[in-house]
Amino acid sequence: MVTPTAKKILLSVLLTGFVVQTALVYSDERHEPLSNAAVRGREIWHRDACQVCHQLYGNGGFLGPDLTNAFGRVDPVRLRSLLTVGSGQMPAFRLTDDEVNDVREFLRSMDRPDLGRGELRLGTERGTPWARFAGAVSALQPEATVRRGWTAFATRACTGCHQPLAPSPTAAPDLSLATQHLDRHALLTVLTGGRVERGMPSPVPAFEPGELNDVIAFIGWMAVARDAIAQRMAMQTGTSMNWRALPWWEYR
Amino acid sequence: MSGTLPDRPIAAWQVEPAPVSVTQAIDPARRFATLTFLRGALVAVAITLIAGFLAALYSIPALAPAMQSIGLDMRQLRPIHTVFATSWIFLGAAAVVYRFLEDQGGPATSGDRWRLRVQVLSWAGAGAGILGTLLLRIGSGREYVGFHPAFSLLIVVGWICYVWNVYRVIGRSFWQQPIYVMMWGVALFFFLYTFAEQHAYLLPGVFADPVHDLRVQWKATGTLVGSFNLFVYGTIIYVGGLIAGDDTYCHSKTAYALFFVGLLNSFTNFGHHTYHLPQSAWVNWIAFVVSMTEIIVLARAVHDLWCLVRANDPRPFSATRACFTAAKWWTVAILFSSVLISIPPLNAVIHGTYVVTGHAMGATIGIDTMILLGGVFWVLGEFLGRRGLPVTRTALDTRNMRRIIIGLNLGVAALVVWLHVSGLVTAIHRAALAPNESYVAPAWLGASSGIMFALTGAVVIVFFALLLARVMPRAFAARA
Repeated sequence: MVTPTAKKILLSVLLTGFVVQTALVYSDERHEPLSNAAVRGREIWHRDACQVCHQLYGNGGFLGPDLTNAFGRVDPVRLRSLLTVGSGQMPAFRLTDDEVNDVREFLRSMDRPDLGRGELRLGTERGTPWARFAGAVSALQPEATVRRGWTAFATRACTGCHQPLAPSPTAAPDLSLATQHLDRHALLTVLTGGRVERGMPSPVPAFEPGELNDVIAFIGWMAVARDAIAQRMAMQTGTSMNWRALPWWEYR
Repeated sequence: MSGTLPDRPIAAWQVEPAPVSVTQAIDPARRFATLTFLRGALVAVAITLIAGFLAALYSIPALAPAMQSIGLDMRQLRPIHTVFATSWIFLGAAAVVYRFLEDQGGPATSGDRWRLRVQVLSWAGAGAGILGTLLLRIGSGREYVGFHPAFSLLIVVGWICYVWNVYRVIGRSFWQQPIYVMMWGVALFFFLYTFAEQHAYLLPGVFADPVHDLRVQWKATGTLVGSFNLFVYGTIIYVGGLIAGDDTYCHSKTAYALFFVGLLNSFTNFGHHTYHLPQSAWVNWIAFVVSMTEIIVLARAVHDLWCLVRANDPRPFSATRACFTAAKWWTVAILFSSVLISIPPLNAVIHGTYVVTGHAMGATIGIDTMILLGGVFWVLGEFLGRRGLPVTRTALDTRNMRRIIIGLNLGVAALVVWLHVSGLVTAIHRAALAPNESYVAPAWLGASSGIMFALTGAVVIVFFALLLARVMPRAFAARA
């Protein structure tokens, strides 16, 4: 049997613990207030319930990527198209230019790796599929027009949605199989106007006429050299992660 | 523990059930309250399931555009799912708390009745309003409290009436009451505080400082979960004691020791969600050390489970007991996972992945929902007994119910295991990236993740639907 006095002591101790933790949280000196534009961006973030799919510092849904440090790695044009046209599971929000800028400013304010990160990263560049694809292109030495096409492709943020030799989680198709379904004319239409009804915006900046030919050559080469590319990519696998770099606390 | 069962462990649900008693001369207002919250809880769980199933379908990339074209996306589905899942837990627990008041409260006063009316109406209004506005995509865009903050006022008004009605009965004898009353009593106030804290973002100074806001939000969310855990654990101890006809455990030192560890965790270990946020090292260390005290609870749970497995139980099937037993298995699994992911380097690897979702789903469905279902079956069984059925066993404790409960738990286990696998693969692949690289899931995971999520989710939904098909008609046919 526990006496009333013991119960009171027990609850008092617990309450003290709670008060101490609360005080520690509220008295933390690290404050990073937002600019007015970023505050407006944050209002849009909550108005459009972005956190149901995206996270900031781990808070939010898991359908989309963590956006804590997304600013530095998302092309502004890609961001604009995502926020206006949508992409696959991401609905079209039809934001105005000002609203897009505000959201961009908010994401810029959140991207402070010196403060904290949304996701742990211990590796080096060679880990990503597109980095390995780039290695395969270098190793296989395709003709110049294909290499130019690859460069044009890589600078249009196409790699934000598409994956090499595989469909992506955002339903962007495997482009090495594109020539099975699309002829040259259809490819030209997609590369100039996008496929807005399927969530693909038109590439920005638009491909130059010469680049269009190069990109089509590049897509055709992917279809022909698919096995060789896959083989080369497989040779470059292997973790680049340094587990010893795993810290006890991520941030101090 | 009871003198009649000296060699048994603490698990109250392991002891022999007392004969089903038909309570006599209970105030109709109190019976109405119990039945109303029980029905509300079942409606909430049905809404949770529908929204959850649609959200699982939306996670299949090929289906998302079609769902968008009919006006459905995650902006509606996820907040509806999380808000009504939370409501199910609070309403289910409220039904059990009001069942307790039936025995302890005596005749309801005029004030009790008025407060009950206000509570029911304000919560019903809030529930309908939240559902309607979230379908229209009007909400706060926050976690757990994703509804428009205007509805928070209705919830708080109802909650204050709830606190008043409970404390009018238990207030004077609070320190003499069994452990579950202390749990509920603390949770009633704890909820109010954490719920208010969830709305700190309405202060411009907090909103304009997202890192500070996130520190507060994680704290508020972590402790909100703590408050509903208190209701749930109080429920299992209360119902377990009643079906055993013995409340010795409810006053024991063991019960209070475990309560202390559990509540200390609820109060302070939210910090393990925020290891990756810039914050005081003290918060991190306190959260870590307190989280490790869960090993004590885990050891106790393993011991109870070991006794449960060894015991050859000859008694006929009881839905309540089956749910409580399932919760015991889940408690061991989830506590084990909880201790592991509270270790900072492991936490760093898995945070922001489906491991967290799997952990939360295992805790919410496996532990909280199983306990509350057990409580709901027991409370509803009383209503059915009163309506002329000889014993509750004929109504809910059937062979089919046994199959459904087993199927439901296996389905949830498959879902939780898949989420852990998916999350771990993501975590390892993601950690191998450089800071400026975008994570793209491995092709096999990208192709299978949504489908597996929807498939395992569908199994859970089917068994939940079968269960509700048996319980809901009886709950709505019952009379107070």
